[in-house]
Amino acid sequence: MNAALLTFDFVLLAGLLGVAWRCLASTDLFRAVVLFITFGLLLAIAWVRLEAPDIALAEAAIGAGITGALLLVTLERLKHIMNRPRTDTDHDPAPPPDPVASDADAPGAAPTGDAASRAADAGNAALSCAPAPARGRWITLVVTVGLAGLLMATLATQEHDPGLQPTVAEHMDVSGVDHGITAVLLNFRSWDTLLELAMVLLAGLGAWSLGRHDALPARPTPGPVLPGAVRLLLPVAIVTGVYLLWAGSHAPGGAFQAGAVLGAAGILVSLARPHELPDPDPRLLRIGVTAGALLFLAIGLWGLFAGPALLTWPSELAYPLILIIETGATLSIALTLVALFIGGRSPREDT
Amino acid sequence: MNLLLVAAAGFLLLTILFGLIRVLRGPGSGDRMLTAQLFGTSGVGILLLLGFALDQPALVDVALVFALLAVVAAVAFVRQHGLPEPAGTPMHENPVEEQPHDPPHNPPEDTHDR
Repeated sequence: MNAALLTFDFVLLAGLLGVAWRCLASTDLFRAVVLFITFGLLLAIAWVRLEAPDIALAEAAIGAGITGALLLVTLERLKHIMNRPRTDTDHDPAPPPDPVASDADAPGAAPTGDAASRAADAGNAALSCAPAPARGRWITLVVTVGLAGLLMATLATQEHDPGLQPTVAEHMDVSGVDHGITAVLLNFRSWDTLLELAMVLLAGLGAWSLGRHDALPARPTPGPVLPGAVRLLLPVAIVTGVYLLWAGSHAPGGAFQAGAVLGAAGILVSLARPHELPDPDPRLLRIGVTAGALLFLAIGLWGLFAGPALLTWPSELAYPLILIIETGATLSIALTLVALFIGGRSPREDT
Repeated sequence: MNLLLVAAAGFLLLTILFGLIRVLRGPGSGDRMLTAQLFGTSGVGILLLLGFALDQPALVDVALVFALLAVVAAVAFVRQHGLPEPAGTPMHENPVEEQPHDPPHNPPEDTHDR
């Protein structure tokens, strides 16, 4: 049993390293994207083997649901930007994408003139560049092997240290939840989680400050498959997200995982119906995006005046407070992820 | 019994590593994307097998999330590489051309017949 698991781990490790290497060394960006999706899958299995199912859940939701779609759409937009003739002055708000997947190297393709075609060539060259010259490869190899050896030596000589596990286990009864990781994230070390939520908020604000979003590049897909799949998957995804939020109190799960699943559901909708996207009320959207951090901060301040200290809660109220905070955080994370995927403010906000 | 489950998970992992050949060689982007989808299914199998072998019921949730969300990348791919634009839409500037350094790379008909 142990030998079988050890073999499994070594095969997994070899696969992870190989996929990471091919992904970084790939000159074809589409291939790199597919390799990155594969890398996410293997990484989720690696987190499982490291006995961190919470992180495996987050990696599954983000790696499978969000990063792949985000990178594919970004690649399509990038191709269009690179191929757009620089001298051209038309401001087409919804540029249609290229028809072919990795047709990133069409020489002399732009028909609007020599300068434009040269610009397109340069853009295409940037999209699939030749591999770098092999200078310094041996030095890199030696340094990498040396560093890996040092790390392994450190691991081998390290004494077994349970860390803070006993302390956490001792105080579980005052945390309000039954899952150690949720207890740490939302009670014992709530500062960290508050700052993480603030970071998510900052990322969303950063994307919005860059300008209005273009229409998502999306081709027509006639037939019943796409609408049918979305109709079937969307309710299941929403139920799964809410289930993960609720499960966080006693099992792996929680706000980040639930937010990632709900965000992926939102991305699915925005991919399926890009032209009929509801244009949300900007005020409501802002409230939703900031709800997580603001609720957390408000309850934390209440803890300063009414409870034990800043960002701590009395143990009899801990469970409902944690659930409120996690619900707000889930909403904000899901909305921010969809906003990051669409990328940019809604055009309605500028009018 | 557990040994059998772990061995089956290891076998599925090996099939993923063999499937990487299709990702690396292509030739079409559809082949690559379908391989990634297949990896997703194998990953669900690995997670379920490991969940029962290691007695970690939470892995069923991870497998559920994977099975549910693997389709998002597929939808994104179909939306970017589906049918050509209808006649009414303003066309892009570039006509379809083959890549010179990778001749069988994603011929146009490859993207149409799915």
